[in-house]
Amino acid sequence: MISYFVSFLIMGSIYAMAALALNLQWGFTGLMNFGIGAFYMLGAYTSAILTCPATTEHLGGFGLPLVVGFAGAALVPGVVAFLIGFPALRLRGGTFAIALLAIHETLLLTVRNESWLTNGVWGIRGIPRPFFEVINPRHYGYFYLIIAGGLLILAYLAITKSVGSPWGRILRGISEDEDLTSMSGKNCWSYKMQSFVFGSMVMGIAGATYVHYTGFVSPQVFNPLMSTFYVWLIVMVGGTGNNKGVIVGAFLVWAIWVGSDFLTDFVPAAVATRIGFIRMLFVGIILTVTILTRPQGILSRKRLIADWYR
Amino acid sequence: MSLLTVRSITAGYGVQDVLFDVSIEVDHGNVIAVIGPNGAGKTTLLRAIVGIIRPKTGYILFKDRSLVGMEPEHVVRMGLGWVPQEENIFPSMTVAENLEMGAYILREDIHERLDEVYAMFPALGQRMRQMAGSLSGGQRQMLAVARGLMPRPDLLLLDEPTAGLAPNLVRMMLGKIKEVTDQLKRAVLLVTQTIDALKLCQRGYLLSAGEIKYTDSTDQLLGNQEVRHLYFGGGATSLG
Repeated sequence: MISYFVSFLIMGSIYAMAALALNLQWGFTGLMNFGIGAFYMLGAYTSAILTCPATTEHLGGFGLPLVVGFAGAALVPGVVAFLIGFPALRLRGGTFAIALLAIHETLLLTVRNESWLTNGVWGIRGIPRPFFEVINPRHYGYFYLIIAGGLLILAYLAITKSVGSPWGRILRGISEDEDLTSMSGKNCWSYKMQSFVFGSMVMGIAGATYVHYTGFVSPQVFNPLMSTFYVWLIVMVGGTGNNKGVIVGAFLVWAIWVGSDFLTDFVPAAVATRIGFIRMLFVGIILTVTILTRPQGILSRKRLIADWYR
Repeated sequence: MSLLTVRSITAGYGVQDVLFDVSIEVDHGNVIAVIGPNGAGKTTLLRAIVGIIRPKTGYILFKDRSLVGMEPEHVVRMGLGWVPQEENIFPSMTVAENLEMGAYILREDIHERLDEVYAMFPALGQRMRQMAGSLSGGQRQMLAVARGLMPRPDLLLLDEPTAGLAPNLVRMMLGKIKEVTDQLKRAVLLVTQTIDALKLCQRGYLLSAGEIKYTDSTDQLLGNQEVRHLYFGGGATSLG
């Protein structure tokens, strides 16, 4: 049971990292990124390919240290976000969101079909797990929790420090009124690009943290429901524009998601086979209840900003 | 040479033109009014000047340099400030943060500049850590004008700064505008619909249906029977 709880905390930390990155892009900059899964996936596959031992199944066999894998997991999504940002950041609101969703689907199809690169739908196995050989497998979860939790704390501090700086103030200005912000003498497009790239890099690191925990990656993990809209749900429940709220939201939503798995023990067998759909129904209910009862989320943005000046 | 010269511009949104062959001039230190009914294109004119929309024809010169095609962030660095009528502050930021947003182009220490602005608007100094979204209507307008003044613009574009304010706040705001022009020697292009605001100006342009119908000194404009009839409603003090 404890190991299950540790696993819950690790996955919650990974989702919290991705949600913090989305919060930077959406909560503080107003960029409606519906392609989170694309950057999460790029980070995951980049680190997997860079660190895996030699294989004929897919590109890779580089066997590089995990640090290099994590660095690549930040760099590749960052570069891709930079290239995508040139055309996409000319779009606003919903059109930007749809463009990112399309890019996610395109990259997902590429990963599924380009077997020489990613081993297609069979995925990549044997992804190295840090110090797995020297740590008792029974206690490995605790060790990885330190890594995932540490990365989450780093992501939280980096993003919170950034949004509290004059740089972050420009981002908040853009999210409220881009025209007015441009009259501060700042190039809003450039700031949106910086936020987009920074957030995408953190999403990539979250992806790498995931694959080095599971030791396996396949395209199924990155379907839009689990890799994009789930992260959106976390931000909306936790509190858009509030980093602490987003972390709370990540663990709460993940708890509801994994908790709903236990429902199979209490429902008839015919219903138990459809439990996956029921869990998705739960996601819809959480979203609806949040919007109706607390649209600002558990912790609102206003409270956070007031905290800075206390 | 005028500080600002707008010559024969046609501008609008997409295929819909709003301004047709509009020309205005603003000299150094002058207060110039643009008056006209709702929907006349007054706000569009200001948006074209600051670079948010691009004129299809004509040209705009500021300090002898063309503003056409220039991005707003470069326009403001040339010494042009803009205070929109609505959504002219950042509600989720404090008063101090709003003012700092207006001072990013300054290379000097902004604390001295903040002190100057707080001296001009004491009510803002008392509320520097208050969220701007919680200010009253008059305080918001004060903050918007103060933010516009932070970078010490040579020309400040004010879009109906007294709209929706109580009469005592209108008088206060007009007093501040007079202070800006008399003491700070800044030029102001003032979009307004009130006679009291028009009286502050040396000259006025009457904009109607996207065209300049009249341009004259304020006295002449106030004495023009057709202008009075159309926009002042006889003896009324409001143009709108």
